[in-house]
Amino acid sequence: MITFVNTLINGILYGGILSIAAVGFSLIFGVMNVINLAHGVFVIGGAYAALVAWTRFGIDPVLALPIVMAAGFAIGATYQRLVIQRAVERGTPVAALLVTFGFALIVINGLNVVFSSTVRNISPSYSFLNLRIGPISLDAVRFVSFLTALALIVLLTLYLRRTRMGRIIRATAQSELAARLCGVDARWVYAATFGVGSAFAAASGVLIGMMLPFTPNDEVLWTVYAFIVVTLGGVGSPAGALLGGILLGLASTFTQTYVGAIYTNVVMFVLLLLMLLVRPHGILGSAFKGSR
Amino acid sequence: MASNAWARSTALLALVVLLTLLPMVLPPFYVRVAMSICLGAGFAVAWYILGGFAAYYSFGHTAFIGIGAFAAALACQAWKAPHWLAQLGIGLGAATLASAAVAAIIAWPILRLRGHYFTIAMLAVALVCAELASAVPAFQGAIGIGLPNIVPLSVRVELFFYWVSLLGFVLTMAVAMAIARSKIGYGLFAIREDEDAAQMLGVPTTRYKVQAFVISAALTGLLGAMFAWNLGYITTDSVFRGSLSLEMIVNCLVGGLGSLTGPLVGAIVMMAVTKLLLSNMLEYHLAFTGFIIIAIVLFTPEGLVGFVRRKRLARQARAEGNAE
Amino acid sequence: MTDRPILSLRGVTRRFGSLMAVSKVSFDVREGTIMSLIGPNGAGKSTIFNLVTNYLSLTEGQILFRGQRIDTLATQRIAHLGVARAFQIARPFRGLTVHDNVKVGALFGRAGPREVDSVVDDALRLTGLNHLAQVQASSLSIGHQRKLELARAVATRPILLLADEPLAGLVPTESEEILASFRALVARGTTVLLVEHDMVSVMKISDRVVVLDAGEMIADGTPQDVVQDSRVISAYLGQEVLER
Repeated sequence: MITFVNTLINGILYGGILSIAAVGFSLIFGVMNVINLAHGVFVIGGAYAALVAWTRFGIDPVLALPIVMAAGFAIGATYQRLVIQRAVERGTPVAALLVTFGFALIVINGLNVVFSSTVRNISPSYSFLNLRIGPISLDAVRFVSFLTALALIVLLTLYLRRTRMGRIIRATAQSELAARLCGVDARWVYAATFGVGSAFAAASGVLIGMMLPFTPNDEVLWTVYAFIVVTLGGVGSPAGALLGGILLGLASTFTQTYVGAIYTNVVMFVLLLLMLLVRPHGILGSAFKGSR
Repeated sequence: MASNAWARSTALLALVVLLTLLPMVLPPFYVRVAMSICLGAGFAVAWYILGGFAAYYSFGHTAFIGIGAFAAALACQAWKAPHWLAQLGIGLGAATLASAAVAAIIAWPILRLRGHYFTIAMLAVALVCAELASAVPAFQGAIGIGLPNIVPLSVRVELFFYWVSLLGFVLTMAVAMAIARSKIGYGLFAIREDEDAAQMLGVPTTRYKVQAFVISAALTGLLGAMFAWNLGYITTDSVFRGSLSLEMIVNCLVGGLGSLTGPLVGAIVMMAVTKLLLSNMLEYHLAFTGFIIIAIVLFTPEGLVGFVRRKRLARQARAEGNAE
Repeated sequence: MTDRPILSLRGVTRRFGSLMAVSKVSFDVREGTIMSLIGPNGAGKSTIFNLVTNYLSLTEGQILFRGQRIDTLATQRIAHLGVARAFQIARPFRGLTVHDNVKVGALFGRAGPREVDSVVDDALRLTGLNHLAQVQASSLSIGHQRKLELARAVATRPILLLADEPLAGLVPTESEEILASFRALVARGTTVLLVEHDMVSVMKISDRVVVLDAGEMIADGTPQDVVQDSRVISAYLGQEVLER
C-alpha cells in the first residue's frame, strides 16, 4: 500500500516536471502548428545554464530561473524570426521541422564540445533533504521543483488569458488572417510565441537539472516526452500539458515500480503510438483550432 | 528509340563493371569510403521509396537498420553454415524478412497518420525498438552480439564488404527504379501530390502505402545487415542510432526530393564532404550537418539535383523564347 | 441510348447538426444526357456531389447507380464503378506533368492496361491539351487547370461524370471549349451531371435541369420548363434569363 502511494505521489511530482517541460512545446505546436524538434535543446540548455550559474556563480537554480528564461526567450524568438519563419514561408510543411532539427544538431554539438558528454547534476544545498509526511517520504528537490513547475504553469495560463499579448497570441492562433486584418503582425506574434515556449522549456531544464542527471544527448528524449505529453493531454493549453504530464508521470513511475525500470521508456513510447492512433489531438483536444 | 535504350543499358553495365573492378587498385581507406557511399546511397534510396515517392517522411528508419542488424546476428548465432556464401545468405535473408515482417505489422495503423504525426510516430517506433533491443535479454542488445567472420581468406576484408554493399545498393536502386516506372509508382506520386484526390481517382492508397513501406523497410534491413557485418560487433547503440535516420534524410534533402538521382547525388556529396574534407574535425560533424540542413531548406529546398534541373529548364525556356 | 436512369437519388437527406443541408431530394439522371444542378449559393449542390461520391455520408435516403445502391460503398469503390468527379477548385497533381496527371486517371480508371496510352491521348485531345502534355501542372493557367481536371476525370473512362462548376472563372472562349468537350463526351454515351451558375451555358447545354433552394428541390424538368417555373424565378433566376 505504501509502495502504491509512494508511486502515485512520485508519479504526480514527476508529472509536474513533465508538464512544464512540455508546455512550451504545446504552445508552439498549438499556435503555429510547428513541431519544434529543437525543444529538447532548450530544455537541456536550460539545465546547463543553471549548472553554470550554480558552479561558477553560486546562484541557486531556482533563483537563476528568471535569467535562464529570459535567455531562452531571446534565443528562441530570434531563431524563429530569422530562420523558422523564412522556412515556413518557403512552403513545404516539413521545412520548419527540418530547420528546428538543424538548430538542435548545432546546439547539441556545441554543448558536447563545451561540456563534454559527461553526465552532470546540479546539487543545491537542499539536495539530499527529505520531507516526511506520516509514512510517506518526499524528496525535497522534487517537491520544490513540482511547486515551481505548478507556479510557472499558472503564470503561463494567466499570461495567455489576462494580458494583451496573450490575447493577441490566442487570436492569431485561431485565425492568422483575421488577426492580420486587425493589424497584428503575425510574424512577431510567432516570434514571441516561440520565445515564450523556449523560455518555459529552459525553465523546465533548470528544474530537471536539479532532479535528474543529464547529458547533451538526452535532448531527443525530452522532445519526444513533450510530444507524448501533448498527444495525451491536448495541444495548445497549459491545462492539457498538465493533464498529459501527470498521466505520463504516473505511467512512468508505475511501470518503474511494478514492471521494471528498463521498460519505462518502452511503455511511454507505446502509449504515444496508441494515442496517435486513437485520439491524436489528446484528451482535451486542440485549444485553438476546432479539434476532432 | 531502341538504340537509345541499348546505349543506356550498355553504359550502365560498363559503369557497374567499373565500380566493381576499380576499388581493387585503390588503397584501403578509399575502398572503405566507397563502401560507405554505397551503404549511404542505398539507405537514402530505400528511404526515398517511402519519403520521396509518397511523401511519408519517416524520422525513424534506423529502426529497420537495427532490426536487420540484430536479425542477421541472431540468425547467424542460431544457424551455422559451412560455406561463407550460405552464411551470408542466412544473415541477409533473416534481416530482410524480419524488417519486412515488422513493417507489415505496423504498416496499416501507422500509415493512417498523416504529415507530422507519421514522422513522430516513426521516431517513436525507432525508440521503442531500441529500448526493446536492450531490455529484452534474448536480443542481447545491451551486451552486444558479434557477427561471424565470413570473408574468404583470399579476399581483402574491405574489398569484400565493398562488393557486398555495392550489390546491396544496385539491388535497392533497381527496385526503386522499377517502382518508379510502374503503375504503383504513379499511384505513389499521386498520393504524394494529393492523397485525397488520388483516392477519388481510384488509387488504392492504403494498399500502395503499405507496399512502399514494407519494401522500403525490407531494403533498409538488408542494407542494415551489411552495415552491421562490416562493424563486426553490434550493440543497441551502434545500430539503433538517430544519426543513421538523420543521414538518410539529409542525403535525400541535399540531393533533392524531386527525383531518384537526388538521394544518390546527396549521399555522394555528403559522404565525400564529411569523410574527406572534415575527417579531422569529426567532433563538429553534427553542427556541420545542422548547418547544411538549414542552408538547404532556406536556399535550395529542391536540393542540388532540383537546382540544376531548374536552371536547365530556365535555359531551355529562354532558348525557346529566343527561337520564336 | 436507353431510358434507364444512370443515377437515382431517392429522398436524399443530409443533416449537419440542426442544419438541413439537403432535404429529401429525389431525381433521376438518364444515361447519355447532360443534367445540370442549379440553385443559389448554399443550396446544397456541392453537398449532393459529396454524397454521391460518399465523401459525406447520407443521413437518410438512398443513392443508386445503375440500379445498385452506392451510398454505402467506399469512395474508391464508387470511382471504380464508373463515377468520376472533376472538382470546383482544380486539384491537379502539381508536381506532375499534364500527361502524367491524365495518366494517373487512365491507370486507375476503367481502362484496360494496354489501353492506357491511347486513353491518355484521347483525353488530352478531347480537352484540347495535347500541345501542353509535357508542361508541369503547377505552371498552368486557371483555364488550363480546369481542362486538366476534366481530362483526368475523362481518362478514367467514366460512365457518369460529376463536374462541379467547370466554367467558373473562365472567359467565354474557354467556356465554349469545355462545353464542346461535354458534348463530345455525351456523344460517346457518357452521362454528365453539372453544378453550374452560368445560366446561359446551362440553358444551352442541358437536357434537364434540377433546381435546389436551401437544400430542397424546387423544380425538375427541361431548361425551358424550369425557366418558366414561378418558384424558380422568384428564388433564383431573375428576369434577364426569361427575356433571352
